[in-house]
Amino acid sequence: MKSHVEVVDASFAYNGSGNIFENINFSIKKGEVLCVLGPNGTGKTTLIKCLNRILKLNSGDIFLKGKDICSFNRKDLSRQIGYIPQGHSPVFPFTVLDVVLMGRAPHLTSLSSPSEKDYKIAQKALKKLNIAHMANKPYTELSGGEKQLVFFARVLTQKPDVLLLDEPTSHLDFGNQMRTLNIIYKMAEGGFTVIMSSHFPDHAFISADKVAIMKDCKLIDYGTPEEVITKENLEKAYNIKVKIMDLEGGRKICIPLG
Amino acid sequence: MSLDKKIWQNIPLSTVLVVLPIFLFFISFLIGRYPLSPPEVIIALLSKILPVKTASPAVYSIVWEIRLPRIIAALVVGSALSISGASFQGIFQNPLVSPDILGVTSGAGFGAALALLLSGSPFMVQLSAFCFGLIAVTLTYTIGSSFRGSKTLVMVLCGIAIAALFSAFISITKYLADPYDKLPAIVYWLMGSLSNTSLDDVYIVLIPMIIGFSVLLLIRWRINILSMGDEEAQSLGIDISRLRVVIIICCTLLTAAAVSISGIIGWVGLVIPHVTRMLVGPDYKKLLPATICTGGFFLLLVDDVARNLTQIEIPLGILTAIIGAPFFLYLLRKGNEGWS
Repeated sequence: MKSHVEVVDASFAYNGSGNIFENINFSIKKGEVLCVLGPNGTGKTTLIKCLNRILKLNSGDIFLKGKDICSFNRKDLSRQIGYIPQGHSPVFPFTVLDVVLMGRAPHLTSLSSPSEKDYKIAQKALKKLNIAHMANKPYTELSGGEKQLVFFARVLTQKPDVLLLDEPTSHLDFGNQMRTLNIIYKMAEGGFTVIMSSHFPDHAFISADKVAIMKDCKLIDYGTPEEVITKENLEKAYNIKVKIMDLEGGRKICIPLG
Repeated sequence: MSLDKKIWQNIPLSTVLVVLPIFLFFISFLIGRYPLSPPEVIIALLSKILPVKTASPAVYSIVWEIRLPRIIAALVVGSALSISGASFQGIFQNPLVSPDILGVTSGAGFGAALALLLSGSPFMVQLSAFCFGLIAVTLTYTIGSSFRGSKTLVMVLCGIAIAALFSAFISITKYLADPYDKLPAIVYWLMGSLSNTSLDDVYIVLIPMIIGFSVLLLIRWRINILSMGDEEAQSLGIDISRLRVVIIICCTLLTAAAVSISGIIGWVGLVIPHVTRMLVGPDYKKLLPATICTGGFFLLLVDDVARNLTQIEIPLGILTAIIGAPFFLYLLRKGNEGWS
């Protein structure tokens, strides 16, 4: 099967400073979930932004279904790629419905506003994530977990087929972390190709098909979670002692030993 | 279903927002140093299209040459400043931004002061104010775009610097001006007033005004997305630099046109968007049309006060600040002003 997202020899540097990452190569198929692990400051977030062309690579290419992402215009790209940023707070207290409705922007001409049909699509997405009751609540007053759900609803209204998430679980409590991973898993089942960065190797065991570990600007390993999340790799990446244990039911768990 | 409910709840409010300015429009003809009765005004207004005669030529000239231009100017200037303020607050993601954030008023102020110093012809003053307003914003934008980093922050900082520069130029012209003749004219212009407005003044700025209003109204929903931040807007398919330039051009045309008619009138562009947000919420799809109504209504009301409160006219800019500043503090205290 052909790859959905393919990254070839990608390097990025901000003007005039050293490389944030270099020679990154990987490819994933439709419906797969890729989890990018690595210590703070290794360029995971920057990589996610490059995949969405918010930042442009200095060298190398990113292909979407075989087509260079630089050949898309913004609007076409946003019909293919959805993005969930790390938690943030907008200045104005838009209602949840207004925020979700923004996902329709790539499907509207530049001079039009959302119509009845777009409202219906947005409301359907809210229902799907069981947050229809929040539709008229101000987005700014929601908790971190609720905001995350609103973002997922917005991606559903946007209808891309690739989903990028920047540390989707980092500001969430224990329960919301698992709920978020379940949603990601379900979205992948529904046909989304997902690329997310994470600080939790365990989460890769739970929800990912592929794992990439970044360290010092480079990809040190890439493959299935069982192949890549090893004692050696994690110790190399995070500079701590790690133990990996098998849980009943075949799942694995990582324990940092300090 | 909740959508239908929303529309229902909004019908009375939107009607009020449209009807109040129209009501005030007619009331404003009646009041003034020479009070007129409603039938007099109606006959005078109709006499232009219907074969009816006004009681006296004086009534006709008060209605058509003095009050009508002034009323239209107040509505248009108030709406222009308010819609620009609301749009700028969205694209700079900052609720404390007003239409003069990129230096348009200081530039226009200098243009007017310079023209008053050199010629004094009302047409030249208006033209010069408009052009220097555009020059100031162009300077801010080109310098701001040449820097790296957060565009919105850099833009605002450049605007402050350019505004300071043009304020210094204004001071120079004041310093050089004849203190018995030119200086009072400059000072009076800078305080803002609609007392000398003629219909010609309004005609001159008609085209930039129409462009500004219609383009902003057409793209207004997208300001919602732009206010969520650059990266998010990009990921939703928005060409952020192009959209931002279009909005800045529209707001600058509107503000420069407004300032060139009325002189500098502060606080309207900052306070009215907040008041309107309290009424209709932050969604720009509703907010921008609503600010046109509230802004026009507010400035017409203030202008009616300015010309009727005392024997001599109070400059408009002073009144808007006296009303605007305390009201703004009240909003801050109240805490549900529509932004956090």
